[in-house]
Amino acid sequence: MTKTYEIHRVAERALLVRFLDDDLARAVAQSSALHAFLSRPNDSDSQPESKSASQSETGLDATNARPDRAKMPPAEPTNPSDLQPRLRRAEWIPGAGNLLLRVEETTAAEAEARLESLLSAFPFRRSAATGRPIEIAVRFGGENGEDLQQVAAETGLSESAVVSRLCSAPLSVAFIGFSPGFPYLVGLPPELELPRLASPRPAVPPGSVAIGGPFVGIYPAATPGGWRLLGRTDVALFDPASSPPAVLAAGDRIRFIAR
Amino acid sequence: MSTLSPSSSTPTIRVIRPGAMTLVVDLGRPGHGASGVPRGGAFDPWAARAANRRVGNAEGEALLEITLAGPELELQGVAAIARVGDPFPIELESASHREICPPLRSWASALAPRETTRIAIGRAASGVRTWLAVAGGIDVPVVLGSRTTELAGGFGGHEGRSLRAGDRVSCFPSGARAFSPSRSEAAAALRPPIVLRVLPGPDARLVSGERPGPEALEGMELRVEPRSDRRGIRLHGSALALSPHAPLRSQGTLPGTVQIPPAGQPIVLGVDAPVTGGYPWIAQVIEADLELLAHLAPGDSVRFATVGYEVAERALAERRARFEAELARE
Repeated sequence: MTKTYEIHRVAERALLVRFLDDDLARAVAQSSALHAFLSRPNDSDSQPESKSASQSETGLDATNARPDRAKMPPAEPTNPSDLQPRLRRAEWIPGAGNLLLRVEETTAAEAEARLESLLSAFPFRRSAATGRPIEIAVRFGGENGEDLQQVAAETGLSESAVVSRLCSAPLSVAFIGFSPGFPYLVGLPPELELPRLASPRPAVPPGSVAIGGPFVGIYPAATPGGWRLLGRTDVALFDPASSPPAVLAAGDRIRFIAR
Repeated sequence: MSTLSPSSSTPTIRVIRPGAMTLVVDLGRPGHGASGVPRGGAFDPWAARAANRRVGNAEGEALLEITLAGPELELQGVAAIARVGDPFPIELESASHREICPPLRSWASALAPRETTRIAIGRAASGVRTWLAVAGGIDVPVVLGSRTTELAGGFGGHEGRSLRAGDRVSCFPSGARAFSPSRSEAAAALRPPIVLRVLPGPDARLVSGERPGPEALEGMELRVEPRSDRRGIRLHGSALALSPHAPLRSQGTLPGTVQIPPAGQPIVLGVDAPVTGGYPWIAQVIEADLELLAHLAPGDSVRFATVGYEVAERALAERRARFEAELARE
């Protein structure tokens, strides 16, 4: 069987785990499953394999209700012996189908050995996006999405077809990057994959829902940006007074609702 | 309820002139990378820790990071200050005391807390950055576990931005502590070229040419570009050829990550770099050399030297020992 991941030592106290699946969404799902397992609060709560029945659809609107983390489904079942306390106390930074690990109390060499033994037993096959289901209301087109018309022209679809394809796509958060709270979503229908703008805008309106290459993103703040703007949401994506400060997290399953 | 008015009891810093960029920093904000928040903090944490120690603070107290051209400040109720980093001149004046201090590597002075002291910090005589600690430390709100300014997110520090004229920043009272003034001459200036020791990065195999892999970096003669800042040091020189490759998937990055964008000119990421990036990760500056990034000035000549993990770990242990030895000596 071919290896599904690579582990790289990248610094004295950092490792990078890359999932090798050619399909970005599958690599992201594997990465998210490992991240969810390692982000679990502590080692003693190893849960039996069961799916949470209490999981409910969570809607986010302008009031920015925070999804209830207690209702998250349990992480993938694993070897609970817990060889990996040090890995859990490390900081994990998700990327597009990869995870960067920053350890404090051990070396990269030791963490690598622990991670190898963890990954060799990890049930990636059953991995799918396991995060919270979240709905986000979006106003599409016009002054809210200045590039919708152009995207429609380039894809040969009508504006409403672009919107309906985006809203029916099963999107999930691959990682938060670029700027604090900015989510990169995968699951964009291939016909909506377009190159980024030739020259970025100096300031994108906060809340803009945009596409760039294989990703959908939402700009939390007015930053420069080269993605194509389709719509806007009132959901606040980042609040430094909360912990964690980003409202969305890698693995969350997102559905846009057109207003 | 206290009847004392805060202005009479709280040490404060009033900004008369902000300088080119003056930031409230501490040792950074670890643990929020998954939310897209870089660790940030003082670009040279050793200098920040040393400045705090010289005024009797804990090493992680908030202080000012000063870039290129220093600020003019009015201090009230402050018992002592210390500056450590690249050499910047300082003029200090109060009713009872006047001091003109040439650019040194570090300098500390007791102040008369009952008087108002004006300090004017000039331009860097060499290098780029210096750190100014006040006894007690700067009292700005702790956000996500740190007082450091997060510029991209617009939070932390003083209102999430660099200081402006007219700003007032409070400091913690420092209590009655014995304080001895100190000075140390500027260390021999970094001799060009400045050598950054690097470990091989996960994308090193993409470097093609006569010396494939990270060793190709060793042949490059590079200069620091003016567009460099806390997010990254941009270098310019002979371009590095990369073999044709599919676009990389965005991945987590670190301070000291050496990336090669399509044009082939390396960027070394700084403490405020976005937490993820999509350019090939060719090499990684060893921890012991990260502080050098904070002092690179536009036009400085830079080279890379590849080393292994043993050398990197030994260099870090030596750096820690040198820090304690330097503080003990003064």
